[in-house]
Amino acid sequence: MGDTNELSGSPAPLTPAVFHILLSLTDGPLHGYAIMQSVEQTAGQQMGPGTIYGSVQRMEDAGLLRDIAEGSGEAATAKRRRYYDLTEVGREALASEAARLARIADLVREKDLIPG
Amino acid sequence: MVGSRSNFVISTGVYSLLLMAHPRRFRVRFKADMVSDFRDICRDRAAGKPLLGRISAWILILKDLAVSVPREHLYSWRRRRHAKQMRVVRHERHHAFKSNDIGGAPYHGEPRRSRSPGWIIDMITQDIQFALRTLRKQPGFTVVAILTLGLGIGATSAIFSVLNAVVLQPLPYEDPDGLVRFMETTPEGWDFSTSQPNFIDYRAQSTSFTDMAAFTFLTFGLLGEGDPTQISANPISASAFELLGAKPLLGRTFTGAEDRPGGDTRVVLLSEAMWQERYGADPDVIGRKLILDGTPYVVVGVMPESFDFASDPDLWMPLAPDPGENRGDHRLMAIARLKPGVSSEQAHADLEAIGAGLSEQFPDSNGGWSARLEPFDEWMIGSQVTQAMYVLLAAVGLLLLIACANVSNLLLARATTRRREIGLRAALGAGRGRLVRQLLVESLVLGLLGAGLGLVLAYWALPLIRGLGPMGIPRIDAVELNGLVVLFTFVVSLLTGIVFGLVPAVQISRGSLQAALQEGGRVAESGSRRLRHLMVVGELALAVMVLIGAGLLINSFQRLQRTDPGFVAEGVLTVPVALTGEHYTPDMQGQFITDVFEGIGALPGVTAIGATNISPFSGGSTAIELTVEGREVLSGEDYPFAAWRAVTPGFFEALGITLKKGRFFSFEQDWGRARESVVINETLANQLWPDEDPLGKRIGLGRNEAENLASVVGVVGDIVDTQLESDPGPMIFLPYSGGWPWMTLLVRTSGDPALLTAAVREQIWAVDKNLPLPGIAPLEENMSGAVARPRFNMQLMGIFAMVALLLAAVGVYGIMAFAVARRTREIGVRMALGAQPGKLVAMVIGQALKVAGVGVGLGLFAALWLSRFLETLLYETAPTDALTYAAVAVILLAVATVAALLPALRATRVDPKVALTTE
Repeated sequence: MGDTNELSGSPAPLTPAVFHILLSLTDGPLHGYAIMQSVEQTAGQQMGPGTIYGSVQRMEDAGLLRDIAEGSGEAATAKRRRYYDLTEVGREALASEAARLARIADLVREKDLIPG
Repeated sequence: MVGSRSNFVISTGVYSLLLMAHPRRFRVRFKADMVSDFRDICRDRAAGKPLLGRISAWILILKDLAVSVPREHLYSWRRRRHAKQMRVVRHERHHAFKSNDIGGAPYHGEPRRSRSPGWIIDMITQDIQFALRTLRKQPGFTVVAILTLGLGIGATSAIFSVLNAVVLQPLPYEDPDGLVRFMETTPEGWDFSTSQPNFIDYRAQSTSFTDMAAFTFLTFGLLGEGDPTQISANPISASAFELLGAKPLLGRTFTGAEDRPGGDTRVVLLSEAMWQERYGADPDVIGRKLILDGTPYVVVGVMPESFDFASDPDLWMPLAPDPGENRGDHRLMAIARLKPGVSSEQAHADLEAIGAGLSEQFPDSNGGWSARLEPFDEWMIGSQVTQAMYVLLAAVGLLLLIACANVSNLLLARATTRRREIGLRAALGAGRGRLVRQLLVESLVLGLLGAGLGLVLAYWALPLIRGLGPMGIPRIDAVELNGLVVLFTFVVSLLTGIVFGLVPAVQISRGSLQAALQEGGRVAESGSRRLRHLMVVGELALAVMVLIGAGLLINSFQRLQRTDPGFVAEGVLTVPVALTGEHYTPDMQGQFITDVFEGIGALPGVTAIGATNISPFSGGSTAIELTVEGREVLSGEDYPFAAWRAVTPGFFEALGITLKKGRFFSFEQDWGRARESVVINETLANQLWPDEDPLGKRIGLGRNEAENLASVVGVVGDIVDTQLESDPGPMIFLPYSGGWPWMTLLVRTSGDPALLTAAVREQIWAVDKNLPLPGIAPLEENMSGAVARPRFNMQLMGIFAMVALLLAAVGVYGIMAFAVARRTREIGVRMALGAQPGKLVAMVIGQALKVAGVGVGLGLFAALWLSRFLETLLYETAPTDALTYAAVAVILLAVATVAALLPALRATRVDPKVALTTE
């Protein structure tokens, strides 16, 4: 029974940052830097650590992510890093947002604004 | 590559540091990962293009910080606020559950935060912001409180700055602790100045001092453009400058060769003021010539303003003490510096030994004389001034306490309106300690704001104080608001805040916790009310003390002013003249007198004219030992001592001194016959010939003057002409017809003496057109200067008393108004039951008087006990003067009555219907 908070109750659209982060985690857990790189690829935008982890924290509070504190396979000298994984709620939110975007894309195509 | 690796480590360190900007919770969680990510970013970007890559990495990082730091703080704040709201909901649910016996969610109190250094600053900043917000919401209260505090703190700062400049600041001389004033003492033990031969001998023979120096006072005439001017000069020892560690502004000080009779003594040091006024601060003034009374002097240097002595002269010249001068002519002031390690007791013993030696060697002049030392700063500042300053500081401290009591009361009165708000915060988990802290911060903020206003008020008041300050108070021009005063004000304001804030804070927080969530909670009321009444009692007691202090000083001052000095000062004009020119032989001086008397005597309105060597209250005095005919003198102590005045015929008439026996001096009988007749005062007559007629008895001036006796031709009433507070002492008057250059003419007129100034000047210049005539003033002015210091004390104290009275009245008004407001219901009931308005007024006033009575009573007791500290400042007024105490008590009770009247009248206008429905 968690506290109520601002991010729950998904009908509101996700912010681009949140969407891309969720997207990057669809293939399995990643740590912070990996998420950064993935988002850079998909969104074309560079995000710094502060932005990434800020969003991660909020998404955790909203129940979209969880932190699996699992030892990484990296060299022994690296500190233990945190890995994040999607929760069920997160998957659902991602799915519904993707659907929404798809609907918009269909609309756009109908209007002949983009080829396809 | 080692270089790039260390760069890397540095970069990482810098980034870690920058991460401190994030909120704590965020940092704790993500810092490690963020630092690792930073490393990865740098490494990836630097691959291939090290410099550019690093730069681009840093650009990214900095942009990221700029965006994420504020965002995280905002998020963090929102979370906290939300969490608090949730706790209120849970708490209320919890209480409801408890009372209704329904199971509910368990209540978790506010989690203990882990303490880290940043936490305290956060909390204090929060408290201060909250305090400012609260104060802004209640402008009426805030303005009154700040004004009250501003008055109290401002007055305290002003007085402290005076105390600082006058008493506390070290004297502007090098190592002032080793400096002492050297004085000779007569056989009776009176302090006296020293003479040139004595000074030379003491200086040569003493072993306790690194050196000694002496100086005296002279005036010269300086001719130039415009009116002839009088120059004041201090002949001074060359050793004085080294003794005081004083360096010249320009040029040099005197050499030993110049400080010797027969040496090159025609040199002067200008004062900075004279250098600026007469020479336009000309840097080439060294070597210029100056003609003083016909003799040329050469300027060898300029002394800075800080080198001012008791008299602030225009210039200094070498003293050149002459061992051949009259040993009995004591005219030098002397100072000395104790050798390191020598105590004043040792020095005293040394001086006494030398004195005894001189007494044996020169029994005529030195028989029975000795010497003593006085600390330098006591001479420069004077213990009376120090005492007065501390008394004023105490008074102003009382004033501040009254202001604190008033503000405390205001805070307590506000408690009822704030109970709900504070109670809510208590429910949100703020502990008692936190609440008290918050309220204290409010008080401190108020205190600091009051201090700000106070400093502004003090800044305005200082020029006024400087103007009020009599010339007798040294260094009063240096009074200013400097760093020390501001620091003092700051500390005072913090203490003030704690003093007036602590009690209300504790009281409010105690009452609020229970009362908060109850409806119409009256639980805390009675305790609070008693406290407020106690405050007012305290205020009134303090006000009584300040008022009594002022009353005693006023009384004392009035008695001082009314003291009969033995002569009539009204209508007399004083004209100091310095007949020092080379052509002024004793005969010429006498001629000057007769010519001028003729000229001035013919002016309309002039009823009498005379002259004396010491004008009343001019700051000087002369004294001498007497040889009485027919009295055996066995040792030095047996010579009677008397103050002497050389006066012309007409002197007694000009001053309106009463003749008791015999006659006054006259031109026919005494002019030109200096040593034949004398006039004595009653005290001396009673001392020397208590049972005989003094007329015709013979006295010699000085010791062993049995060959040169003069007859007593008159006995006059006692006069006081040095300090109004002193008792008249024995005095002897000698007839003057020339032989002493510094005289003061006394002109009695039937009208306003000031109006005669121009005419008198004309008459004098008709006789000698080159005579400088500064300082012509009515005698009353000189006398008022003599009481300047007591007047200053009285005026300041009076101002404090007025403010104290005002604050106390406000305090009484406050509690009465509040009491009436809260008892509206009760009053309404009474009126509905037919009570007379008159009775109601009487009831309210009666209550006010009860409180006032206790306060006044306490104050009277306290004053009785404390007023002894005023004793040295009082003249012919007992510290327990019953009339003053009674008057103050009556005034305060009257004020309390008036202060309670307004609320009382308001009570009678209460509409019973309204009253009965008021909560």
